[in-house]
Parts: sequence; C-alpha cells; structure tokens
Amino acid sequence: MGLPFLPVRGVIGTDYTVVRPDFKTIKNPYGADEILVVPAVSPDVSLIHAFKADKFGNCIVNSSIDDALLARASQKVIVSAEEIVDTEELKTSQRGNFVSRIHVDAVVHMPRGAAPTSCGSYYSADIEVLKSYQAAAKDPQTFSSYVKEFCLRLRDGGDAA
Amino acid sequence: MLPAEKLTSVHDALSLVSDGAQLGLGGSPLTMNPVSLAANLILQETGNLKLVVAPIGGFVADLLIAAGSADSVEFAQLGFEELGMAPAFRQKTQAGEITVLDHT
Repeated sequence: MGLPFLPVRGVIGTDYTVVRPDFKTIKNPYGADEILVVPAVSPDVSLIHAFKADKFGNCIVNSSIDDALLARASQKVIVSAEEIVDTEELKTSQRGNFVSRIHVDAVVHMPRGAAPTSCGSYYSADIEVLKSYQAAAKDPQTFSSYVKEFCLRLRDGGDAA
Repeated sequence: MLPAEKLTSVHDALSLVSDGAQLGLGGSPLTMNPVSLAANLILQETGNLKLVVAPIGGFVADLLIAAGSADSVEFAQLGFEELGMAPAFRQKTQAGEITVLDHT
C-alpha cells in the first residue's frame, strides 16, 4: 500500500505497547480521541520460494500464504524457484498467485529449494529431517556444526536430502 | 524491447543482502520456506539480520537464528506446528540473545 503506518483500534488499553514500544498512540486528527498506530513492515530484502518463475522475475507463488503480499511490501526481492519456464506458461498457470517482475530483483533456479519444508505438489515436508534438526538442537555443543553441515549441503543450490 | 533478465547465480542474488538488513522471509512454518537461499546466506556469513516472518514463520527463521545470523525477529507466530517449538528461537529468546518483536 506504501503507507507509513496503519491505525489499530483494538490494542488500546492492553499491555501491547509494553511489549511493542514502537507502537505509538496519536491524537485522532478527525476527533477528540486517540488512536494507536503500527509501523509498516517493509523489509530491505525478502527471500521467497516460488513454484515457477521466468527469467525476467515474473513468478507464481503459493496462494495460501502471504508471499505475494510480502513481495509487494519489500524494497527488494530475491526469488528461488522450482522451475524456470517461459512467460507464456506462467500466464496459463492455474495454481498460485502471480507476482510481477516489477517486484522482483533476482531469480535463482533452486529445485527443492524449500526442502525440508513442503512445496505444493512438488514435495511434502521431510518430517524426519525436521525432527533430526529439533533433536540436534538439544545439544548446543554439536548443534552449530549440525547447522553448518546442513548449510554446506545446500551450497550453490545443492539438495539437503 | 524485452524486459531485463534477472535470472542469476545464488551468489549474485544474495549480494543484495547487506549485513544488518531487515530480511523478510516467505513461507509459513513448514511450507515454502526459502531454505536454500537462507543456507547460502549463512555460508557467506551475512550477519546482524533483522528477520521478519510474514506473518508466521518456522524452519528457515530458526535456521538463521541457530546460525547466529540474526539480531532480532519480528513475528506473529514462530514454531514448527505439530512438531513443536522452533528450538533455536526458543533457546535464544529465553537466553536474551535475540530481540523479539511480537506481533501476535
């Protein structure tokens, strides 16, 4: 939307402003009461995994989550995609939300780029990998090397599996 | 005239992310996380990131927190759904090692 903040009514009177001191109360310019405002979320850069993209940055993202909204809200966007396809194929894609290239700064071809999380009809979440990550986290001595090795398997678009 | 081509290497794409950047992460807890991009960001040691999950996050946010790449995280929810807690997020929040911006 390009707005710097939005007014929110329901939070007034709660302890929310203790948790979030960046949420401010201002005078309602149209009345005598006060209204709470929250700052816009506009990341410097966002990372988004798409089903399909073309080489110009147009892409199809999951429609059940807020990736298309995040792309529009961000200053810059890096997209990884399961498939790089012709623009015509994006226009006829029945599944997902279309994100225009005007919102996208870089596209990288990364098959299985969301694993071990799920990716639509391409693959399911790898529960065993996710459980092994949680188990590894219980030992702080070895967890950092587990994380390093996990990342090294994905260097330059490698596959975690 | 054809529009500019933006298909590039992982390395060149991630050069857009500077140390200390506010970094938005797509996906939901266990779906469509930009895992490979984030793993390569960790390997190139881009740090002091201010994470934003949009609006709920899970695996990839936890991975960046575990790797020590993040100073803060803004979220409405951050976990592994039916698998339980996001472990590094939990540990570093309890230890006061990251700043949490709760948007619940």
